[in-house]
Amino acid sequence: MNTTNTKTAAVPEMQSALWGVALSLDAFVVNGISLGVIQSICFPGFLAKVAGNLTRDLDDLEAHAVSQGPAGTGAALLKALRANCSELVRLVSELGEFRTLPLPQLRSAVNQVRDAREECVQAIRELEAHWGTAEKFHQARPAQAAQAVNDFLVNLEQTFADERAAANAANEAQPLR
Amino acid sequence: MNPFWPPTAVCSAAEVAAVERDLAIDPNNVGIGVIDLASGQIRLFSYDETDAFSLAHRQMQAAAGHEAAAVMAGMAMAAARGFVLGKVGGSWHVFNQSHLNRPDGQSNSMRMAVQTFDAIVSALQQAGVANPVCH
Repeated sequence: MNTTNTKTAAVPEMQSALWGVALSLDAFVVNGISLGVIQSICFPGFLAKVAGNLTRDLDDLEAHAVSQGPAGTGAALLKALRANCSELVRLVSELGEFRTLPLPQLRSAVNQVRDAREECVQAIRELEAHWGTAEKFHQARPAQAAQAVNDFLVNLEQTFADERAAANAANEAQPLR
Repeated sequence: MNPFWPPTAVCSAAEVAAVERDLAIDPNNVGIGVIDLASGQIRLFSYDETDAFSLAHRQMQAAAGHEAAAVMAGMAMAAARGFVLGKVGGSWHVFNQSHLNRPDGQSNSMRMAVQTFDAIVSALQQAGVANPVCH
């Protein structure tokens, strides 16, 4: 009997809770940036709302982990996932200054967001491997949905540049008083 | 040229009213709209509805927002385009903005083709969205 294998076949509820975090992560990135950051003037509370949804789903995942296994099982990985998500939320929040950030800083900030999101994805994969979930979220994700999120992230710098240009053009169109 | 073209965009007044109610309850909520380019049918949900759907049907792997809205509406993602409806200070605002709009190939990849957006705005006006500010 192999007693060195620490993997446990995750119960379906744990896989479901992990998928909830993965979905919330994509929703936060796409909607948080496009509405909570780019349209923050119209929707000032939206970024906090979607960040709250991500926290809610992390809480749910941790509650499932505690209820299903001995304390400490995956605890370090869960802690890393939460830390990565918190960092992502912080970095996305800082993008709120995109209209006035110097372009090199904006590029750097966008790259940091992409990297932080990738670290969250990696943490989810590590938890899936640790728990031995039957289906892996990012392998099962519908291709078009995954592609749309990836394209959004790849084009993020250009999206911000377009929004900056539009904002500047609108400001220049304002009559002088 | 876009292979899809809605002959007429159609929106339900009841869905506009439902979104208006949800936005009045929670000002941080927004309206999430999708149009099926094949039929011209518009569907409207509040963001919170799409979030609840995403949570309740995790096995469908549709993230909250336009992705879940397209699934909720039974639309093929390739034929779905998205917009956002908000109410700010009593005025309606319609945003041509979604990560589903990239296939339209606009210079800003978050925007759908102008003709499609114009058709949506007209349909929204007929459904009760008075004097919208378009973005």
